[in-house]
Amino acid sequence: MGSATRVATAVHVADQAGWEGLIRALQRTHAVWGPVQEGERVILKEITEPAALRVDVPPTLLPTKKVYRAPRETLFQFSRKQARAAPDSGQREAAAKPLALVGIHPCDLKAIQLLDRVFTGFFVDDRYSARRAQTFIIVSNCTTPFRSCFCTSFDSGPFARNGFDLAVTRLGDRYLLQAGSPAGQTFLAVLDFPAASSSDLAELVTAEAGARQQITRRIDTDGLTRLLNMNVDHPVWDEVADRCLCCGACTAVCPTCYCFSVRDRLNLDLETGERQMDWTSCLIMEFSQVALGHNPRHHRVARVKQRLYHKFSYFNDQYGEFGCVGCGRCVETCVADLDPVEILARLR
Amino acid sequence: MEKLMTPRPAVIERIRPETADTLVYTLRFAEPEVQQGYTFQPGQFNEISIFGVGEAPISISSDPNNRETFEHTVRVVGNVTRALARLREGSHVGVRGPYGKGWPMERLRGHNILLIAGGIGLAPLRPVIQDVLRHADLYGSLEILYGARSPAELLYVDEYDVWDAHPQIRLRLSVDRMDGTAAAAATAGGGAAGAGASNGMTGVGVAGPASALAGPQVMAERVKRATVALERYGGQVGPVTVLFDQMVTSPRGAVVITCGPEIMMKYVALGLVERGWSPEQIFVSLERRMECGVAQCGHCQIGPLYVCKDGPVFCYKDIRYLPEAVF
Ligand SMILES: Cc1cc2nc3c(=O)[nH]c(=O)nc-3n(C[C@H](O)[C@H](O)[C@H](O)COP(=O)(O)OP(=O)(O)OC[C@H]3O[C@@H](n4cnc5c(N)ncnc54)[C@H](O)[C@@H]3O)c2cc1C
Ligand code: SF4
Ligand code: FES
Repeated sequence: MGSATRVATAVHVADQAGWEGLIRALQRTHAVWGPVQEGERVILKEITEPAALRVDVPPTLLPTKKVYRAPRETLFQFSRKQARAAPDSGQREAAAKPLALVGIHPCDLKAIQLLDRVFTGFFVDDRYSARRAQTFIIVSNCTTPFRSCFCTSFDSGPFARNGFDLAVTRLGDRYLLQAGSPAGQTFLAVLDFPAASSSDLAELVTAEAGARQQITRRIDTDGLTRLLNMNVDHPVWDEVADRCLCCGACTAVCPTCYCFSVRDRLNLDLETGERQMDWTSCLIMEFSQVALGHNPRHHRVARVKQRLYHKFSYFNDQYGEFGCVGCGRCVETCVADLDPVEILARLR
Repeated sequence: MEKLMTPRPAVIERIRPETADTLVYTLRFAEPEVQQGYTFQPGQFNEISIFGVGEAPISISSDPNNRETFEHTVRVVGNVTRALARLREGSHVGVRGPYGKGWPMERLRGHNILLIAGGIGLAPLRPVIQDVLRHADLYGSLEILYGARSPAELLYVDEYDVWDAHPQIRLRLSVDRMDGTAAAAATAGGGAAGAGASNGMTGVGVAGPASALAGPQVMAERVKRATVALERYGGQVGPVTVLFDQMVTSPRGAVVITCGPEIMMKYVALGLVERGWSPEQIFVSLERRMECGVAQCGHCQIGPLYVCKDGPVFCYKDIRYLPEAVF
């Protein structure tokens, strides 16, 4: 980790008005989505008023997968009588403005990069890749990590290194901006913000180091896959299974959980309908159930293991990296207070 | 770009009742250019759609050399398969595929093959048998050990004589029990419906009154032929492994391909290893719940493997120690 691999472009400074102007400029060409505080919760949603967008808040309740792979997506329309899928006109997508994600955390950016491998690695999902390709990303570096975070374990924060168009770091009333792509560079050039001073730059370095220091929760990834493979029968799994309600909340909020189910939904005419995909969860009993009731993950312990083994072992075999980015959402969400940091520490 | 999960229309050219709960469908893509461009490897599968009901992964069970049509052998067990059984010749379904990694054809060529199947598990192996019949010079011998629960449930009964008459092919059969007499077969529809009752199926036969499944008369005739076949091909009562004592293929330079219930494949693999076969010579075809076929829905995973992409055919040596396989 370190700043060496970051795209070396000049850092610019904007004040609050300049930052809001930037968002307004982006809104002319893009649908801008970002974190908005709503009561206790932080929600990822489309921004109408730039001042509502917050870059200094905990992770959004749902991560960015909700825009790339919505909780429910229509695959296609069909007619039963014709027994065929209507060719997708692509109108909905074409009519929509391209997306800008502003203020997403570095861990969520890393999660997007992991999902890219899932949805475009072996087979290319055209809709996902089209949405991805047109997305403008402004990542917000975390200067004040939150209580459940452990991104440093997976090299996914607190500062982003690549994969963004712009990175913003908020230091008091200043927004430090740095381009990470040609598109970001062009965009920044038009706005003509002043260059950062050397004391701004020094502060940036201190801010990163400070943030890093505050993240004390950690998963030791050294030999983790091997450790897991050696401990498939460890008593901790039964303890987790006893507490876990298998409600699927953790998989819903996880930025790297991608599993979906497919189902046909008929319209009231009982003739036309849509094939849809919905988010699902490997914790749900029916997930692996096949016809006539057979289920290779009938027992809860098998399902809780699947979730954790997939994140911390199998994903690595499949895609070359761990499937967790340390955002802490599952920890915050779990009603049974289950925490992968604690669970995995038990194996050491 | 082609949408990953959008099926193409296909016409059902022919429906042949196989058993009281299984039908064989001959399909052709409705768009000629799609049919022309379609090829598959033995052991691969398609996703079959009934719009308004859903999709099911089904192995391709026909001769890979036939580019005009392809076949699926489908056992009625739930919603999609039941809806399929109600269709008529000339109906359309949605098809996308082929998916997955099939049998190791390169490896099979030039070697002796031991093919061991249980029940509907013979379906994905039939393309291998047909390729051997067509390109016999490319293969060594083919020994088929096939077991079903009862005579009434033996698949492809009318093809056995052609298979076994081929000088390179030898067929041996087993059934778990002999109660598939003509009388029992007459009520076989009722029996299968009983199995399906837990699935919400009730009433006449497995797929309801309007299905194309074999009725009592047809089944009684079939069971007669199955009983003759059993006598002719060394019929034994017991799990398919009872045929091991009659097996003539020796491990040297041979390859095993097996498909059936997972527990059957487990005992086949263990039994063969005991008899001197090495795990590296044994290939199994696994079944898991699938909702996409393209390594994205997550359902079919076993450990680090996607059964839809890395399988369904796996080498036994690669999966025998996987935490979640029964092996
Ligand atoms: C690689 C592969 C090849 C197969 N080949 C054949 C074949 O040649 N002939 C045959 O009769 N059957 C085959 N099956 C099994 C067949 O897919 C299931 O019987 C079928 O999906 C049941 O669907 P249903 O809607 O009738 O049942 P339901 O119980 O109503 O199933 C509902 C949904 O569950 C899922 N599902 C249920 N059972 C299975 C299962 N066993 N495998 C995968 N998904 C399942 C499907 O998404 C299905 O739409 C194969 C399965 C796999 C994985
Ligand atoms: S497993 Fe938990 S901490 Fe890791 S990425 Fe998913 S929600 Fe975040
Ligand atoms: S069937 Fe969807 S991942 Fe394999």
